[in-house]
Amino acid sequence: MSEKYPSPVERASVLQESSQEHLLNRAKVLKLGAATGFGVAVGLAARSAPAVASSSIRAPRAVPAAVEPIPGVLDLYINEGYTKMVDDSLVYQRGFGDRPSNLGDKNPSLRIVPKIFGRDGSVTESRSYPLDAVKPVAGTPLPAGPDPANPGQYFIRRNYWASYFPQRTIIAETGSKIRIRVFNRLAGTHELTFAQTGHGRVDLGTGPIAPGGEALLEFDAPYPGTYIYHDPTNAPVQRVMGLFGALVVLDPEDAWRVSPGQAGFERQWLWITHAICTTWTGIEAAGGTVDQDKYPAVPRYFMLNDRSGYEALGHSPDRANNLAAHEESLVSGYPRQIDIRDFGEDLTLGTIRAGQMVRLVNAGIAYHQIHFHGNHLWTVRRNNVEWPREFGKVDEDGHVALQQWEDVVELPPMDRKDCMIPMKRPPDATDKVWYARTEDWGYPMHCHAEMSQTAAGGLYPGGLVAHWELKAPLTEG
Amino acid sequence: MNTPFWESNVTTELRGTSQSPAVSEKAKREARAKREREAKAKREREAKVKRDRVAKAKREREAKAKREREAKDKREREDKRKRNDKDRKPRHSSTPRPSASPTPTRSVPPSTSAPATSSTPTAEPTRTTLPSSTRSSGDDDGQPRDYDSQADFSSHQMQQGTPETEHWQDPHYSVSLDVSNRDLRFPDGEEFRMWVFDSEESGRGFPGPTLRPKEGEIFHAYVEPSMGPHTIHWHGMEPDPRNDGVGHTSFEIDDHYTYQWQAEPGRAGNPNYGAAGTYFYHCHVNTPLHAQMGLLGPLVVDPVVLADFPVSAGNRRAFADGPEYDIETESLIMPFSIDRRWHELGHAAGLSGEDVGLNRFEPTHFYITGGLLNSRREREGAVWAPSELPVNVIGNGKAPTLMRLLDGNYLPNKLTFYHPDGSPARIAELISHDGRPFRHSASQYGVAIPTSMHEDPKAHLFTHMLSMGAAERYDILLHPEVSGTYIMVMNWNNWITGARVGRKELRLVAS
Repeated sequence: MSEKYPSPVERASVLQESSQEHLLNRAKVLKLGAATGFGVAVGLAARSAPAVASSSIRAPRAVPAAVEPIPGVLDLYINEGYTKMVDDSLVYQRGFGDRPSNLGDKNPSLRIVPKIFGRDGSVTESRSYPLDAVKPVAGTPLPAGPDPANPGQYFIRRNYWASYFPQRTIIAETGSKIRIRVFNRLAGTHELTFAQTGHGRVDLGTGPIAPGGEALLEFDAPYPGTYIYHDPTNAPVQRVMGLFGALVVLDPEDAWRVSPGQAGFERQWLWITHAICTTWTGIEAAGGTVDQDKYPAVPRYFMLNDRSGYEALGHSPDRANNLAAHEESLVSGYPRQIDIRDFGEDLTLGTIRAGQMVRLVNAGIAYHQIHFHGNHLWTVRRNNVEWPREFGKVDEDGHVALQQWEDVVELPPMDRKDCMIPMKRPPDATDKVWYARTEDWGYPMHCHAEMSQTAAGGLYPGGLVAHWELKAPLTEG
Repeated sequence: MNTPFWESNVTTELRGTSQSPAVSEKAKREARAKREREAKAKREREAKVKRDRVAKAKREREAKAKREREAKDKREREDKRKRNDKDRKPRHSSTPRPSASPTPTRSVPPSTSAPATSSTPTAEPTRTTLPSSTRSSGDDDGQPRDYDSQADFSSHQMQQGTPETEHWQDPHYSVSLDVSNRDLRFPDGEEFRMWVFDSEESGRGFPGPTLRPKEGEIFHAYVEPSMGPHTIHWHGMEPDPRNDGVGHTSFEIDDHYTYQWQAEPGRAGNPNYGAAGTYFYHCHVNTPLHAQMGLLGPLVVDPVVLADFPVSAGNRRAFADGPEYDIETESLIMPFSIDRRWHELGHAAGLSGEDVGLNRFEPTHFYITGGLLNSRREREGAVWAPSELPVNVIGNGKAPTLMRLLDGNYLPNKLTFYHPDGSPARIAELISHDGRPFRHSASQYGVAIPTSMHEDPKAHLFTHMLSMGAAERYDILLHPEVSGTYIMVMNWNNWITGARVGRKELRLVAS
């Protein structure tokens, strides 16, 4: 059950107490938080704002409570709350949540568990898709069996494994209608927009929703691909605040391809990157509006699927977090022989010579340079436009549009790229080392715009990181 | 300027410690700089003594280590063979392994361009392991342990004194690298404290010495960092994790280690093989800081020579089935920028959780480094940077000029070529990206012809403008149509807003 946000009077008392503690450290925050039912986090927000502004902006108001669900309609609640960063700091965030929650809640609803709009008009909550496919344990698809002609490599199952998706994901099957009710539970005006989902790649959205108001958005699932939903108010400020997510559109009858006729894959991964500027979150938490010219963004935390650093790498003491990181983010599989000229090859019954597809999404504000160690990636699409396999071009902005190998993938803000990680034998390992392999081989993934590797100004590698694994040779039987 | 009230939104003890008055910070910096100057001469003397000692002892250790490894490998092979004889049920995959070869030959997958196939798989392997929340390997204490926090993880990367180079092979190409620091003067006269990789022959300069192995060669880099733990990551090369040079997936080197890998040879018309191209190496410890401090250098992999792709005198091919270029005018160009504040930080700055501002890279100095590869003279104190570059004009009787672009910078770059008259010059042909040629790959198992070798001119990727970002590489052939001085303009852009923050020009003299 949610804990109640204190009244303005209670806040004032917290403010007075905390004003004497200008340098509350993290340990104190956490201790006080435990003792006061998270009131300290609220106090911090109040302390950071002038009292007058605080009382006016945080004045009690009517906010939508949970409503009766409507079949086939997804309800999103625009909430606010405090999120723990990788250094245990608490940072004010907003988000599109599953349920109404309040600022002082210990677990505010700031991002949804993945939802699926089916062709049959249903809305289903599921972390994995396709719904009837086998879920890979710890996210790792097992192979169909050894590939005798290619020692140390395996046959890969075709159209078999489900993929896990991170929070904030909405999946829509082609032919479905996306119906979303949005409830604005905050003091400011917000909206929900799905970028480039309309005809002609126009944005589709609710338009501004007044505080306490609601809106209904309906549109047909667009062309298969990866899209960003977000609040475009004072862009990109509300994305930094956390009002974003990803829409993945798939053909349910051809669910192991990014789009009909395009690259097939063993399983897929959705990587949503995000950056948080605490100057901006502080201004908004205090009820202000960010003046981007006056206060340029200086991101302080960098996330992949809402995790950073050792939590993103699955090295935290939280086993549930680590498992979820492996299922949703940490690419893993068995080595296979592939040929990038044909990812859909099906020479052996029930198998495919393909890698795993990584859908890169930059919902943040920084120019990222996604670098994989161990394998180059084969990039097939940018912003849902297939790159050609021949007769490519250099576009007007100086980017090459041609399917290609990359070990660093440019990912500007709002960009999306679909890249195949082949999961092949690392090509520059010596034969002796490769054939003696008995353990998993783990490789880092990180952004090479190196500032994004930090948290709170240091703590390398505490930012936008992941790793991927070539699993060890299997024991038969 | 006073701290805005809202910055107290995030409350950590680190923020408090980072809010010392500016004056005090300046005094501290000056005092630190003085101490460092005084210590500099001493460190350099000690470093020289150490290098001499190391150079002498190194070969002895390597020879000894090699003998030990060979003996160990032999024992392991014998033990394994005995175990296999006793145990008819294989413990791991039954896939055959080639016998160890005493020479650095490389077995290759089936010679057909298509992956080999076989009958329907029969084995049904099972494995249900869950990820562990603990590290299975040791850290700097050499013991398995949990990570309680990000600071714990950041400050306890695995360090090993003298990790073993497993499955050692005799190298075709070897280099010995140390890590040193010294003040270097850049082309604009500015001096910065830099950390650099240096070999016995290169002296301490920036960037690190150019390394240039060939496909198929066993590459060795003996690294004995004299300034705390470091690694070398061979960016774009893809060996096993122990030779990938990343602390949290292998180890940081406390004493010394010999990296070993073998660049994959290319095959004509096959997009799945071949490593020839442009790369770089850099330290992967506290990477944002160490790379900015200068711990990086160019790495170029040259191709094998295929019978159907002979090479004319004075030329080389960019990749095995790629175009020829003129060796004499081949260049490497690396944009680099410097935030002086970062160059006052220490080796492990920020790892314990202190806010040292490594999320803020605000360079004020911008450089086009590099130059002609064939005539680079590595020497003590040198910053490798061109004032202008010669370029072959079309029809001068020589192969085209190859420019290897390596983005050693953290910000997005955009470069543009201009004619002598100032109009945009579409003279740059992009032939490779990140060490892999651009190819036509539409034909299933057919020849994937490189765009740069295609008979149809429309297949070639010509441009006057190129966008690239941190760590990317592009190999470009330059095709100026007339003699004269072309201009390459390099812009640096803000990584958030995209606004231009720096600009430099380089003259390209076509003749």
